[in-house]
Amino acid sequence: MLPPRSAGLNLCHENAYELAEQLPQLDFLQIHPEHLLGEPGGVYRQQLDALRAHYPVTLHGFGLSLGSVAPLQSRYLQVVRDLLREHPEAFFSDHVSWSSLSHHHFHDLLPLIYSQESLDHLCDRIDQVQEAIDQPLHIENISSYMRFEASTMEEPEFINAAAARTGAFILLDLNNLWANAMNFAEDPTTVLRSYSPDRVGSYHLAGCSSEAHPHGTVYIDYHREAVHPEVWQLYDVALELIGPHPTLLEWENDVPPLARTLEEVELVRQRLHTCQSVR
Amino acid sequence: MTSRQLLHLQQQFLRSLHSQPTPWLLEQVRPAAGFGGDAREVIELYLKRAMARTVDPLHGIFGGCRWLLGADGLDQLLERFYAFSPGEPINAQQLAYECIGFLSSLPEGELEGLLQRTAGQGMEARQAVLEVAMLDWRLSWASLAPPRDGPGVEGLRRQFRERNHRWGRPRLQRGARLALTGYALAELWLAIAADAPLECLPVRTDGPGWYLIQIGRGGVPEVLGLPAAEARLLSGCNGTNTVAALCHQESFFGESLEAVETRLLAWVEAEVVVELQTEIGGGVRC
Repeated sequence: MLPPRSAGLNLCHENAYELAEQLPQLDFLQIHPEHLLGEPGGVYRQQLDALRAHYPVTLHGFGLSLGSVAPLQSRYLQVVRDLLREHPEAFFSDHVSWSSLSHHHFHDLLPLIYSQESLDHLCDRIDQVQEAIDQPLHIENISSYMRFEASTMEEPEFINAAAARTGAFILLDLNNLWANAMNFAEDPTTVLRSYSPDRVGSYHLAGCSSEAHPHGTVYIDYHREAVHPEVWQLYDVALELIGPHPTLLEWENDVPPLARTLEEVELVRQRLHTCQSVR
Repeated sequence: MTSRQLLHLQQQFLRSLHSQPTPWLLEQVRPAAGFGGDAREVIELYLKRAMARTVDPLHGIFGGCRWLLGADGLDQLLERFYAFSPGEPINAQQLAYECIGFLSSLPEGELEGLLQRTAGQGMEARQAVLEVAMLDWRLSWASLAPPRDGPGVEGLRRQFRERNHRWGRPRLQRGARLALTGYALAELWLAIAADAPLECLPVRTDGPGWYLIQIGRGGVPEVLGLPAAEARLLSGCNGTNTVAALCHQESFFGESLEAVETRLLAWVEAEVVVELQTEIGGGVRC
């Protein structure tokens, strides 16, 4: 198990070389199981294997399609289970979303309808995953630019219920939470307070871009810039209300030199170590 | 339980990848405030993101095609491929397979406008594009194959000295590929790697010939020309034919057992034959 006051960074093709060269101080590295499946060899795979031998890791998926109605991929889950056995400190997370139906892929994370029917479906799926990997899953709130008329619950209520029923933990992505709140004219702190503090097990922080549209601004999580000041403030509130948990700094596109992303990780570490939460 | 509500939603979204969103889907969607209530606009945003994420990895694989067609030409081709593709594979290499299938199915003359370099060579534009696309794919495949975990050159020399080596099964690197072509592939690869401004693609003057594409020493991709007899021998080095079987095969070409073993050992020294499998099966790393 990672200590709650752990600050980590995502591994991606863009930062792998510098990370492997410099081996900076990090509490953990987040890796994608999809990369192990898709790249059985090659330079990146060598770096990935060397880095996961050096650092504690967490596993973060983007291809599970947890909310899909098609069967889960047993091969993928087997890889995750094997990795978790190899890395006892790790947990596995994926998104409360769907991205594929059988062999058809949308190549993006799409939101679910927040209804009782889809909650029952999601809980069945989480149960299947947890049985396969033999440990609690961390489920992440996604950023989205649309909701559905058929939804009967708000996102926090839906995710809280899924976590409570299945024993899963919530991976609270504060950038996604903030971007959604901005996109739907909500108060991010009120949304944050709606999440069950007891179920939160980890955090993600990332940058987010704003795009001007004819009727206003839309915030999109391209993960290509530094964390917004408002998201840092939200993180401070989360640490106070919910408490410290392993926190990942994600920077995946337009990745700057490693020193710049490490500055952001250092900001995470400082906050984790100075927060006074008693939780 | 399966949610019929989610099934219908997911089917409608996937359908919208290749046609207009249905009225039903537009009615379901409540867009973020910035879209001013326009469901079509927000779905368009998702469709654009989906396309970018599908096509982007192909830019990384088809670097030779970019050299051949230019960035705009490659963009045009990939956009047409995206419209054609059912979008099934998520793995970039599998998607690249599908893309080459698409290129091979384009009607003759479709690529002429994109490509001027084949004029006067007696080669079709489609042949040139397919050649470079397949070279791109084979190089990508070779570079992402599982690493060599065999015994090394010294270990293989030792194995070849043992009595039981004749029922060992030689094999190439897992990502190695043999190609038969009318282009001078090694020269073509060097031109692409150097981003050389060629007037026309290099063609073999002595008819189609064989090439081996693999990762050489130091992890660098290499394209090696092969005499036909060596290509025949190496094509049997796939982990299913024993040394005895290969020697038997070559005996029909007048080769002695010792001569074939000497040739195999030469390929061991060149790090082209990298294993002498003895076990049945053998796992492949994920």
